[in-house]
Amino acid sequence: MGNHTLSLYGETGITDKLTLQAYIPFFVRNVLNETRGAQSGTLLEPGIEHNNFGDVDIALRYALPFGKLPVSAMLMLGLPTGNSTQDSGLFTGDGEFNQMLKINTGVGASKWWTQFGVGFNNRTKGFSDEIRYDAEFGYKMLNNKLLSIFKLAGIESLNNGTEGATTTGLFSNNVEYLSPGLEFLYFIKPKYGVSFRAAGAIKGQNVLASPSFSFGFFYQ
Amino acid sequence: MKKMLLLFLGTFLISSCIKTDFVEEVVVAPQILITPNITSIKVDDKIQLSGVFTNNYGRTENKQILWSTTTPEIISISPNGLITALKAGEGVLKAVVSTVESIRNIKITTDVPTQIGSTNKSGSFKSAGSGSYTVTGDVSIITEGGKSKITVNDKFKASVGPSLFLLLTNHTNGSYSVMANNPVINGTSAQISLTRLTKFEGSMSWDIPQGIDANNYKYALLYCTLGPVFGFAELK
Repeated sequence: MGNHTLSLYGETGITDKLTLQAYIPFFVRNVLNETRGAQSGTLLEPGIEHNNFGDVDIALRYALPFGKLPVSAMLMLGLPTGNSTQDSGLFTGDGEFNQMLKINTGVGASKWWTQFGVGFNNRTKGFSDEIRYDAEFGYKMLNNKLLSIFKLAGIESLNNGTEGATTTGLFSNNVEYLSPGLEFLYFIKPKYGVSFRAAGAIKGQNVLASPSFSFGFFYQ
Repeated sequence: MKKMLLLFLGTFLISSCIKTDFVEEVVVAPQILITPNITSIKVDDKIQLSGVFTNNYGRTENKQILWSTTTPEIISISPNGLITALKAGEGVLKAVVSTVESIRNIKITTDVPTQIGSTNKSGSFKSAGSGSYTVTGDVSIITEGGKSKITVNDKFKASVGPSLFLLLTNHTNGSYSVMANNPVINGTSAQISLTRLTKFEGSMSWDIPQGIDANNYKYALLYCTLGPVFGFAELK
């Protein structure tokens, strides 16, 4: 099966210390491939598809006064704007309203940076709460036109929910994974560029196992 | 920039098309399945038989079945499978499709009423332990007038899956063959739901497809063609 998303991600500074973030998956397409017999070639099950809006994330990030170490606190709200009820199970959202509190910190120099984050995601409607964490190391190349980033992201479920899992790996409960990824951002002009990201999983539970690939355009 | 955007959208559209996955098929001997399962028939009674041909992948195929008997003095059978008990004894019926044949012995009596094999079984679903997938509720099979129906009660609830089928099986830890709108019947499993389940909670019932004798199976089982067995009920 496949999960394909067209999304917008944006950040804007409201004050020197406060930043607004938004992730808007405005077109989510899920497909379940048709199956055919390997020997006979007979069509066994036709494929199915479902297209819809996804779950929007809105976040506020605030720079905390921690001396020289840059530390920020983020409140992210996961809005149930996707479809979690249609009968094929190809959901485009989880149907629950979640709230995540996350702390981020990092250090850097002119050519490189690194950052770490850990958060607690409080989920509703029988979904288990989660600990989410991530780390990244970035390096600037080609006169700062190319940014290469190694990312590590993970989720640990507290397994305290009542909702069952789905076989699709789409918006299932008790999702866990540890995913390393590589991301490249190339500035075509000083204001905009293109991005590419590939990520896999070292471990996973109730989530699609195949690697994910992302292509994007960015503007700053 | 416009060209890149078009290339990006083109790649997105092509990569998001429905593709084809190939699955290994279980090869079995072709057979003719005869229903209903008659244990005895009283002289002068008539019963309509039907036969279902399953090919070497266990899939039903619409084939002309040739009915005959090797004991015409005891039992007769019409070209469309209507049998008439003529006198007491052991009747032998034969169903043939090409080189495949199936033989059914039927006891004809003068005193015992005609008996069609009945199935009254039930069980409670339990989760199979495949990941976090769960199934709860009760299931029952009732045969009336030679036709069987399988029912799950209003407490039935299964994890949601996009490709979930109800089967009768003789084991609980394998992979199974299914085909949309063409039930697969092989030595170890029989497909009950003709299409993917689209309801995962509450009371539901399915007619057991022709050719399937529920007495031959130990379990009612929920199988997702993406891999795992969700749960099963031992039928008693």
